[in-house]
Amino acid sequence: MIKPVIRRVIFALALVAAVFYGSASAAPAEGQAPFPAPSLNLQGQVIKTDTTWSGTVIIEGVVVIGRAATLTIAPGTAVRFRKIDRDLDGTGDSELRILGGIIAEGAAGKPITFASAEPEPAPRDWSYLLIYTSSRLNRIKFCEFRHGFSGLQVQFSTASVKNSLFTDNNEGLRFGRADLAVENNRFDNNNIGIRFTRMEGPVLIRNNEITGNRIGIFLVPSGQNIKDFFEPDRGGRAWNTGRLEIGANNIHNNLAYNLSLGEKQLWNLDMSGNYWGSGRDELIEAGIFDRHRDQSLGKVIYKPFAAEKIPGAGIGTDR
Amino acid sequence: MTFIPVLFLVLLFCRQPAWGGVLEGVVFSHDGPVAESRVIAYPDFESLVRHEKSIESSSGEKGGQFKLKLAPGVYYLVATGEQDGRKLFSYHGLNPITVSDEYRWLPFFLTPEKEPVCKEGQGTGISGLVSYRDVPLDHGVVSVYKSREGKFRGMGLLTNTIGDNGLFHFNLEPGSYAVVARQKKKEGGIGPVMQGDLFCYPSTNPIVIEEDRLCDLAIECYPRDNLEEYLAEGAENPQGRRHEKRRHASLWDIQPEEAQTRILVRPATISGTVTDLNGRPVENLVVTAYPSMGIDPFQMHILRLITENRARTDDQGRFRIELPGGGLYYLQAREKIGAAPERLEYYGLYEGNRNHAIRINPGESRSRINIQVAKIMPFSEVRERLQGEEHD
Repeated sequence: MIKPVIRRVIFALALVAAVFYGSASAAPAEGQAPFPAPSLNLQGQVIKTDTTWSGTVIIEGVVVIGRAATLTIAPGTAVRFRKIDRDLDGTGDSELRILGGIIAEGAAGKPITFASAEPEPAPRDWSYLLIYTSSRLNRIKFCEFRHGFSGLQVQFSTASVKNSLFTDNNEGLRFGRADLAVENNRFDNNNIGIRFTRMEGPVLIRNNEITGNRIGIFLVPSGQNIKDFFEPDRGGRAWNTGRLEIGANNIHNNLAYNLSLGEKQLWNLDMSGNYWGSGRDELIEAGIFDRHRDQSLGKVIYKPFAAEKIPGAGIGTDR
Repeated sequence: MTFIPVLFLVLLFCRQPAWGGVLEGVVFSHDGPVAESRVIAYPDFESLVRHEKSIESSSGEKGGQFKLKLAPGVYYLVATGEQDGRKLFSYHGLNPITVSDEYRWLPFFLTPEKEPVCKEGQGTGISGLVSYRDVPLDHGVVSVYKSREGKFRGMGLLTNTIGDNGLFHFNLEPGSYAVVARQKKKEGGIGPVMQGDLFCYPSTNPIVIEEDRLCDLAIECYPRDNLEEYLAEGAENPQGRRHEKRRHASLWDIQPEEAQTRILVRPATISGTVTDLNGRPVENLVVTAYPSMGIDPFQMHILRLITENRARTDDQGRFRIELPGGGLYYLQAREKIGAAPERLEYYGLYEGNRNHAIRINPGESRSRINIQVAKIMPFSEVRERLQGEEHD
């Protein structure tokens, strides 16, 4: 016979476990608000069913959202990554990897935050939120990314990234082959604000505030397997026309360059319609690393440009 | 007393050296055994290419026969000879071969050496003609491998079917490649070379391809383990009176898989199914097991990291991969090989753990491995928006 006291303790523990498990790994019923969870600690694991996070979520190691699952994150949720560096490369190994889908939509004044769990946080404390070979339409809105190697990476996936802040990361946003909209975000105080690593698309970068980074935007093509964009003959149009649009952004006061082309970026790019921090050609060109400085690179066509800051660029409220 | 230490020293110095295996066999061409032929062992493929660190055979009891003593280890074995003023060559189809301390009988089938003819201005790549006994093949496959791989099995970097006139063509990036052709007796496609199947390895492997140069090869085949068919009518059968005994020791008498088990390393196997998000099997996908050393799971599309450890799913979504040995392998299923994931391509990683990897021991078989795949990037966020603006 189990004593009544012990039975009550077991019941209480079971109740706590049920609430904890339910908030962490079960999708809420349709129309039901996510359960306000206590702190959730996740260590290296694969989550294979639809999941909703809220409250504070601590990640230690690599957490994978499986291909059949979608992770929904409620407004105001704090996702924190512990710094562990098993390979001693100076970058924390903790990571959130999405193979399925992610809907992380915060709200103005109630953002979802992805940051270091360390008491003295620093860039590279964690790796990144990686969306990789996803078959979903992923949404990142009103989120904040801090202290990552890259705050967010989008590779071989479709996503929209809006109204979000990327600050104090090594790279704010990195992407390769992607179908991606990057609109009304702020990138500041990163080593690199936006890094496009494959120069394949289509990608739209519009109405963003990109300032105070070492390099604002860094564009470098892949050395192999180039598809979609590899079409040097564009009938006289700039190479990126219809494939990559970078327009109506405020790209200014970045420490080394507002825009830099990487090795083998041989083609001319149309980047007109942005504000570059000045109305004078020589000052704008001083902030762009292209054929002006390296004859092997393409030319950035920045004219016509905005002479004044573009109102409405940056996080704003909701668009 | 000094007797015991002296005896110990005598015994110590009288110990036989730890020789590994004794290889014997015969080297023959279409016209019979080739006298003055040589079998040469190299410790690795690079040494074979450079003709360095070679160990040569001595003559056997009869013309065309050889004898080769080798310390235990892994070797690439080739044979060369000359007949009627023509240079002949043979690359053993089971290379690299691990030699233990057992006796082995190895036949080598020589075919004529033919230099490639390379021309500028016709593209960059390799083309050629595959033939058997001077008759072009009417079916079969040709595979191209990165020469540094050293093991030329499976589909390689690229595999093309041979046209009914024996011709093939590959567009390639500049680099060093090995070309191997095969013809299955019973069915087309990829698989171990069985008795009677044709194996075709040109003496000029590896072939260095430069920018804007197309090299044309003439590749001659020989049948696996079928001397009678290969020999011309009236040619001396080199198997002689000890035929049965020798065949028993021949590597060609066992399946490649079994040969590996017995004399190479103990292979491991991974098998399972590939399904879509609704649990339905997906056929004709390539499942690849990448050795984890030096790469991470997100480099699996990089061409230079391509591996032979792969298999296609059948109509039930089933796959079975033979691995050269134990280790940690990343598992991936997809439609393409050696290219970055593409829009609307079926793609999936093993999700049994966060590393997408399986650790397997030599000789171990892991079954019931499931990989879920889905078509990636089915939606468009900005394509229509940008293309609409382009047309405006």
